[in-house]
Amino acid sequence: MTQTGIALDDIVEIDDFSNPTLLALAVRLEHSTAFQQLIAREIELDELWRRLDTKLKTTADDAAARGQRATLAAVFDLVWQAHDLAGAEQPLEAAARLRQACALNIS
Amino acid sequence: MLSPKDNEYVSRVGDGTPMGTYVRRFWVPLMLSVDLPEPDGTPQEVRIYGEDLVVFRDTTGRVGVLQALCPHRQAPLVYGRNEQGGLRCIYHGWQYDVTGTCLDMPNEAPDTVFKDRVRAEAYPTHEAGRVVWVYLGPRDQQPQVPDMEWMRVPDDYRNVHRFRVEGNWVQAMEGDVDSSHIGFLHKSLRDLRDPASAPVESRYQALDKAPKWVIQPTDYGMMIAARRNAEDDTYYWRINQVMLPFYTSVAAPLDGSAGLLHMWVPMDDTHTYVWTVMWRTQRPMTARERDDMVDGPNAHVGTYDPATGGLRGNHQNRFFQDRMDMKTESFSGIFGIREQDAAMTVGMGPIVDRSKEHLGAADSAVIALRRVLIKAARDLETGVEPYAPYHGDVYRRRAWSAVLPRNDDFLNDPVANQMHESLVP
Repeated sequence: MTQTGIALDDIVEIDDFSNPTLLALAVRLEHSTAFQQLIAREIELDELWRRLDTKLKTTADDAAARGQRATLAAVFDLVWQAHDLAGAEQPLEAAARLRQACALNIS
Repeated sequence: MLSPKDNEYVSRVGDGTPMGTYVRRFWVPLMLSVDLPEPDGTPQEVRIYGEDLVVFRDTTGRVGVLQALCPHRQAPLVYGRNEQGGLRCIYHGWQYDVTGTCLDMPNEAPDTVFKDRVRAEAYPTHEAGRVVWVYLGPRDQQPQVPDMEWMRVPDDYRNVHRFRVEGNWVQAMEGDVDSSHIGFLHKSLRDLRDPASAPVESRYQALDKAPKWVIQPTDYGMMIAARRNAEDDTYYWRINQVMLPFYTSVAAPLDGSAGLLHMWVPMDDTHTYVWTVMWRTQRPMTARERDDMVDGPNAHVGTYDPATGGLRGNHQNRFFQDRMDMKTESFSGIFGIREQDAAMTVGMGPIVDRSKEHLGAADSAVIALRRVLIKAARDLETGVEPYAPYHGDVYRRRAWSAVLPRNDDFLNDPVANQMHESLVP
């Protein structure tokens, strides 16, 4: 166990893309240093990305939803960047992307 | 999931690609020595990394690997006359030795210097473990031949197959690090339905289908440990080794009496030479054991076709999947372990679109393999020389399985660390 409250080798279930979820994952990224920990973070980011992808595909593409779609798309892009950065062993940069995504306040 | 950019990066090995540059830093298993049985015998054609090559054993027994087409008019050298210390193109008689030197140019004037200006591209070769190896990288960076256990046992202790499959080399290789699939794809229904009466290893695999992973990058590649519950006070460990760039050593039986290694050599981006090497550590393989590799009830390669060098089972004939067998005998209904794996990886398409995947905890080692490969190629791009090709001794690590007392500090367990060591001096 670590100060993040979880064993960093373990994979946390990602149930949504709310700000608390994004922030918790950012914190885990900031504490992850070992190879296996980064693999675990990549799996978590994978699921986060998947949920955003599904939401984007099911959000109406009309004027009323334009703002929401734009925000979703921006968050999606940041999460994708975070995913690839975690894979490239740059967890702090990945966490920074998630914090940027939080600032967009999607939830 | 991989981004399309990373997917291309890890998959493609053509000349000038980052991964292609990386894999060219290693010796490559090319063909069995027995496929070049005699001096001045029949030349062979192979394709490696998208490069077409002709292979021959010259008058003195040396193996030559040359560009497939004659430098003169690009006629295929595989038709050439193998004689008098070189391979002679039957189109106009130009002849090359194993170094690519043009020995003869009989359709030009005898006093021409043209002959001295023409060379065939030739590559260094080596024979070890009754396998012909070739090096396709920069001449001033020639690596060491990997010192793997199977290459050190006597010839009659090992059995080696090479066959061709469709599909990218990485997706084929990923199957060997995907430990959780063995609890499904390769299982008999009997073992799945009645694990208690199955052999001990099958029982543990059947009872615990969600192993816990310990993955450790190493100087040779990566160690992948899959931990399953065994008895109340023990774990069943299967330790596979990934050795860069394309070797996977699969967990040996509990008694350590045998080894199994695969080599996933890219022919090009969408075809792979799959090598299976099985060896005994303490005694010769019996004729029955060799036959069982291809004909036994649990054949490793069930439909090898010597005429084509591939498998008779393929995606078009659904790998001869038997639906009745699926109801009564096996989970997959496909005969042959390699055929079962190929049915999955070939069926993904020539290069799988990894941006559409849904990966979970059980896929940790698959993700890790991709990251190790991508990092290795990126390091070389930024000027960091690879370690493994220049240290052949790191390939002495072996895969193993064991039932050990429960110890959550596996990486520092002295018993576990001892078991990585080769059993063959």
